[in-house]
Amino acid sequence: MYLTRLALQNFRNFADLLFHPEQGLNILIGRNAQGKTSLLEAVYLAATARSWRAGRDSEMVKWKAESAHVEACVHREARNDIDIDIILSRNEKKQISINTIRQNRLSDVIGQVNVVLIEPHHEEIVRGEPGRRRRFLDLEISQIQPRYCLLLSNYRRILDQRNRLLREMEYRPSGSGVLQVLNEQLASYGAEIIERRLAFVDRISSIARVIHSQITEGLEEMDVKYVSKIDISLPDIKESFQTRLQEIGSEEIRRGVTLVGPQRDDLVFTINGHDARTYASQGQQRTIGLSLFLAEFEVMEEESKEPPIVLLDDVMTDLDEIRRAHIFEITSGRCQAFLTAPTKKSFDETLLSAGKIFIVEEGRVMEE
Amino acid sequence: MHYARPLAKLVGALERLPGIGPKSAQRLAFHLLHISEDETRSLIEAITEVKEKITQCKVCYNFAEADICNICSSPKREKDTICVVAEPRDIIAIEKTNEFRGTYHVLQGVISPMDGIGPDMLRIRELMARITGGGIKEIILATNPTIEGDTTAMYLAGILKPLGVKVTRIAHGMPVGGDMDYADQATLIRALEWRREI
Repeated sequence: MYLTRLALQNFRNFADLLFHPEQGLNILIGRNAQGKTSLLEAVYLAATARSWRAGRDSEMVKWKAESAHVEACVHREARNDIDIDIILSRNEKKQISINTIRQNRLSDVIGQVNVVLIEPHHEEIVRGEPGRRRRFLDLEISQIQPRYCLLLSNYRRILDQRNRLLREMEYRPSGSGVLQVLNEQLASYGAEIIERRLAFVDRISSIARVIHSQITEGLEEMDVKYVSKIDISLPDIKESFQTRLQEIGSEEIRRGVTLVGPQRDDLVFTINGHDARTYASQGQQRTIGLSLFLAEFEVMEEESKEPPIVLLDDVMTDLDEIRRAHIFEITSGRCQAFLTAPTKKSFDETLLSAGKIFIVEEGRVMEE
Repeated sequence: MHYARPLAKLVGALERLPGIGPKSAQRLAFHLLHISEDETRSLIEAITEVKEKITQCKVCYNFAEADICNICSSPKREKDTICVVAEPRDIIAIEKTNEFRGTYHVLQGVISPMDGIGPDMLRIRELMARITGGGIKEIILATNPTIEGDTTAMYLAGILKPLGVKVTRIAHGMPVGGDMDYADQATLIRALEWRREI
């Protein structure tokens, strides 16, 4: 799939932009704060209905403007072409339309366009806090399985209800009866989320291991494991989830919060069997991150029967030849990619000649 | 504000109604200013009358004009089947179909800890009393297919089944006569899950 047209109004520092990218590699060159990353952000927003860097939607609205407008037209080979229209307001909820029809559910938006984003600090996936790894899992699985997105929102709703009940158990005469029902609902949705995460981790890790081994020339062996406070080795995860809830019931009531479930699970990366979070160097952590994101590309291409759009935010500059070659392999002709860098000097001739160069300056995009 | 005081009072009162924002409240208030005295009087009368005459049915807790509502007192309704709903407006929806012959029971809400609503605040004791009173064969749980609607239905199933009645839950799936293309994914996925052999 590839973006054919991107129109922005009052988005970040773009007052009014109409951009027709290339089907292949787009190299965005510009000094800092000219809008390179904001362009990637707009594409990412169209695909996932959120930004990876804005805490609130209003941050993406241009200074002094009331609302921002993002319109993305995407050509898809395996499905019909699609127009995604997003209006971000300062005070109201964002409005998303697909082919002019208003969409109220996130699950109907996410996954229509697939993106893979590689950020400059991709080692953060290894050494950052667990929430970051859960967000990675949730977003990537949602992109390929709309059902997952629904499961998540239902699960969160049950979790909120259950946490509230746990906090107020002593004042609730029929609380334990309701808790039983909420346990059943939590375990039912939670087990399906865990099952889908396990299957995804299984797939992505088998691909990431191969890429990682190639990058490290066979010297290091990485692995990814999904860890949970629920016994996930048992065949019936729902049952083991419920058993765990029974076991810790009194502690949960005492602390007033749900202590187990997908909202507390994590991913553990290892190199040659050692925990990469504590034992690996930053360079080694970066290699794991890069392998994982490259593997994500492969999984997504397999799932949606066409390559996703790749967003590379300032990542090429400090990578060595072998890592660049891996990125170059997918960005040269296999998919549409957007690559940002401060100067052309960061790239060699082969890469520059493989793509089209655009200069980003003060919220304008010009062909070189 | 810019309104004359009595007008401001009316706008304020209308704004408190559900689904009415400041703009709609203003539009309604200006409309009311223009209607004839007769129309004004009949509107006031309608509101007063509804407040005076509408009570709750002592059997099903639907709105009623008498102690017992028309449905509960009708000899034509099958008293052995009770359809359990969250709100009186759900009864209106089902009655429009003209197909359901049983009676109803209005819970007056759904279980939702976040809103401070537990089972003891719903008309569940009254429902159990109706069942233990005898003559009931089937309870149809017709709460909404939301998380809270499901929580309530599952809770009710747990306490009603031991009473020896058949407990059923309404089906969820594709809207009849609807277009597959327009159905949201949540509905389609449920419809696929609950598919039947034909």
